[in-house]
Amino acid sequence: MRRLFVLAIFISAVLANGQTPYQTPVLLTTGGQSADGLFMKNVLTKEGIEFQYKPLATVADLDSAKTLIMVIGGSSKGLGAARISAEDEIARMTALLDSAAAKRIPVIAAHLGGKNRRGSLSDPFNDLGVQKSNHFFVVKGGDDDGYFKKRTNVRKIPYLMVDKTADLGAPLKQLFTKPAGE
Amino acid sequence: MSEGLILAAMVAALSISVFFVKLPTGIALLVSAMIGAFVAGEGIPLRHLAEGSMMYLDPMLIVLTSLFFMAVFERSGALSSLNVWMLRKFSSRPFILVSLLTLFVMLPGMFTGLTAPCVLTTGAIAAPVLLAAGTPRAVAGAFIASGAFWGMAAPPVNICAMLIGAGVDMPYIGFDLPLLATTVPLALLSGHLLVGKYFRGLKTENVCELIESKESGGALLYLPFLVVMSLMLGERFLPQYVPHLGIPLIFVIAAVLSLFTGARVKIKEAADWSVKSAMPILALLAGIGMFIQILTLTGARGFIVIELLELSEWQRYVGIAILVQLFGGVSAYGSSVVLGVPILLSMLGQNNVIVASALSIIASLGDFMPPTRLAVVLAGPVVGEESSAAILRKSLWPIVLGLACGIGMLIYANEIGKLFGLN
Amino acid sequence: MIRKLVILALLSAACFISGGMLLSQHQDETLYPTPSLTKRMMLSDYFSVLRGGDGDTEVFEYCGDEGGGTVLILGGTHCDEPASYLAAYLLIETLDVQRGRVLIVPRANRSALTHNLQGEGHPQTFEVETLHGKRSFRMGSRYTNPLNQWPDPEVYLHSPSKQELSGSDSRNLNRCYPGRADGTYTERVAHALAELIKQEKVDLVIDLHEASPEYPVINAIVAHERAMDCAAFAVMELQGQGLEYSLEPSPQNYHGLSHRELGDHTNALATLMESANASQGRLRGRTDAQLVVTGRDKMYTRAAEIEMTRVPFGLEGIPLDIRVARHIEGTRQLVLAFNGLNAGKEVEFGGAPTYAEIVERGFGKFMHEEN
Ligand SMILES: [Zn+2]
Repeated sequence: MRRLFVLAIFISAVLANGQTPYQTPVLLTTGGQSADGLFMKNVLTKEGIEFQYKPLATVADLDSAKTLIMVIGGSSKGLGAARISAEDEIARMTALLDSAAAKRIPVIAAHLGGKNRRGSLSDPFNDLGVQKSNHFFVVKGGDDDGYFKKRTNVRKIPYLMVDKTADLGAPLKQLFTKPAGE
Repeated sequence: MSEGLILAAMVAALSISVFFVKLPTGIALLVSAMIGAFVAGEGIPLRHLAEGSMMYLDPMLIVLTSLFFMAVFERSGALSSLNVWMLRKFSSRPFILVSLLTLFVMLPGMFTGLTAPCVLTTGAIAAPVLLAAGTPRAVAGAFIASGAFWGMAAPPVNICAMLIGAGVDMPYIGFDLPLLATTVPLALLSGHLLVGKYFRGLKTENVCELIESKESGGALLYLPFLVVMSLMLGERFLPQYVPHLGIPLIFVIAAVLSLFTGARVKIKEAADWSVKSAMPILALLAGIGMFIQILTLTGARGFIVIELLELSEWQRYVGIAILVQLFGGVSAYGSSVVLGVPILLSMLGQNNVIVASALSIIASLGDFMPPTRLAVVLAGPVVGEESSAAILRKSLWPIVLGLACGIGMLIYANEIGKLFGLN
Repeated sequence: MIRKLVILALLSAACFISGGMLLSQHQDETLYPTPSLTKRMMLSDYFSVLRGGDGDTEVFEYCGDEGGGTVLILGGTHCDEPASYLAAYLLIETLDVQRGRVLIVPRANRSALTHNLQGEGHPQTFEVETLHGKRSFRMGSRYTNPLNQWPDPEVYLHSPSKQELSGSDSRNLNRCYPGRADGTYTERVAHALAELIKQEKVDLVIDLHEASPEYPVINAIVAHERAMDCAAFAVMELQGQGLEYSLEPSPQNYHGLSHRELGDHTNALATLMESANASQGRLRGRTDAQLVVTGRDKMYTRAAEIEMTRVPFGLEGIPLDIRVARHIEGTRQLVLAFNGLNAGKEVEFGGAPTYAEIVERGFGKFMHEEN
């Protein structure tokens, strides 16, 4: 009930403003250097949402962005390939997310990798991502234990679970579409 | 029959054969393997036994050829000559002498990741010095086994760590520093704790007699040893100039060379001695291979691993301390692959390099452990001590230090990793 | 004296019998390619030094009527990963290529099929149900047979990266890429495969593998950075079908692997697929032909309960049928993704059964023993 209320406020705020807070171009990055960012890249390409994909995006990259999408979940191979330590990756994510908040750039966090992207390596990235985002998507399998559900409930941000990554197209498209009536 | 019972049957058969029937350990392992296969309903799996017996073909050849090299090298007069030189040079500085002897014994292990070449080459060279200083034979054996163990674990080549790394696709990078910083100081500490007191009391007059009794030969005497070292090191560091011959061939070349560099050697007598000394060890290595093959075939191996992994956290450290080491007693490499890899996978949150280093040290300790006690068994003939059990009893220091070091590294893997700038 | 003679006689008999059993493993299985096969070549056609040796292995070419790109499928790089070569055998016996070209090397390291890894207790063969009765296949080893390459160095120095690995990896084909013309036996095989890729202008390499259920990269496609887009589309499509797949980038600092070196040293897009094989794992219980085929193992079920496996592992296990089906479907989706990204270089094929068909009927039922 309370969530509905918050959502209503959020939507009315958006309506009052006359447009969605989710504007393009999007800066797409990862939180944990998993290759799952590429799935989001595929979805955004398919939906025709303008974006720039930078797995190792820094604060400076936010200058030309109006929305930040962060695909969370760790990959040891990915961290290795990017030659970045888990700690440095956490630091990069924190800086990026905090800077987005300061610049009022909305953040969408998405967990796409299922069970493989959970556990001791991934969850520090997952936690950070879900704690500092405004909208959350998860693909089935990644939240069997309600880890994300619980956190989004506490933070009162929208949470959507889809069956497969490809199903993210429609809800994403909707987020970026100006609401009718303008 | 359940895997636990099969394992129990194999262990019982092994213990009875060794302790009551007094079979040689190699034969006892074969008996145990056959009984394990039989109770598992495999009959007599000839192909598996044959395959397993060849598992350690390379170490077998290394043991045989290095013993042959040592036999010829010793008979050429090189060993006593080298000892005379060492004692003359350092007998008044016992601290340096013991440290040098320790590092010297470790040297071949650092480049081969094996204990056998340490015990049988540099260990054999150090033995007379140790004995001349008044070290009891069993303690001298323990000193050599200790140096060999630390040498095996020391960088640049730690095969156990490489095998564990290979199981999780981790390149052999970043191991040198943590391994060097742990193995070398602890090796020196073990060495001083074991023989320091005998060397501190070393009176120059005491060794004078020995020094004067033998004349020191020319530099040519040491050529075979230099050839062994330069071929082993050259293969690794200058692969474009030095061909890959393999350790057995290197020893054979050096042995042939020794025939021409010193006193006349009766080659048949030297060969007889080395084959006779090597035979029980070869049987042992063949037996271990068959034992492991049947352990795996019957599922007893998986049973051991899963039982270990099901333990709670603190129990697991105790389990690792006991099982990795004991399995290492069957084979340090086997223990690294079979137990080390799953343990590393269960500890992925910890610094991988440090965890793998720690496990490699604990697995290497297996060279002290029954049933094989490889380092100890090999050290026996080198120092002339009949009872390998006596040597093992004196080896408490390296075992305790090795275990403490390994478990400590496991528990504080992340902190230690940071210390060495590893992520 | 008599006692010694008896022992000697017994030992000789044991050696003779077991020697015969070991020798029996050197015979290649007969394969029955579809009529769509256009050429049957040898790897030595690309690097003549291999000719006639155990390293020389068959290359099957399927050419469509229409021109297009070229896909190379590698099976049997590691021969204790049976789904890798059985998926390749199945393609050879079912494939019908309409467009472009498919090259298949089902036994990439042929020597590795001629022995078993010591200490692993693997069966020499296992049987699969087909329409023509039971068909027997060999189980091999991860490494080249020591009869072909011996002794191992203590440390294997990879060329050209100078990376250090344990000596036994010098006989691991998937640590020897890009290979050396004047290198070891295994490096020469790797070199020959790289030559094949260059001379045939291969566009996409799919290297089929299996891994133990506790291995971190499992049910996965690993891809070189140039192949990432293609692999990402394939993985998404596979996930869409309800198959658990993850996408992993090829590590830049780990050398010798096909997805790293073939991507770096040839123009092909290099990918690799892993399925979960209990008979290869370190936690497995009893090791026999049953385990290879059914993939059922109570130790792994226990391991899954303490979260030591990276894939769900129930009592039903992960049978060979599912693993082969995954490789076939994964291959199909990689090719489709490649087609989507490379207009004009499409490769189109039919004939191969679908994932659902294989899982339902068993892959053996689709293999042909006569044509
Ligand atoms: Zn493989």
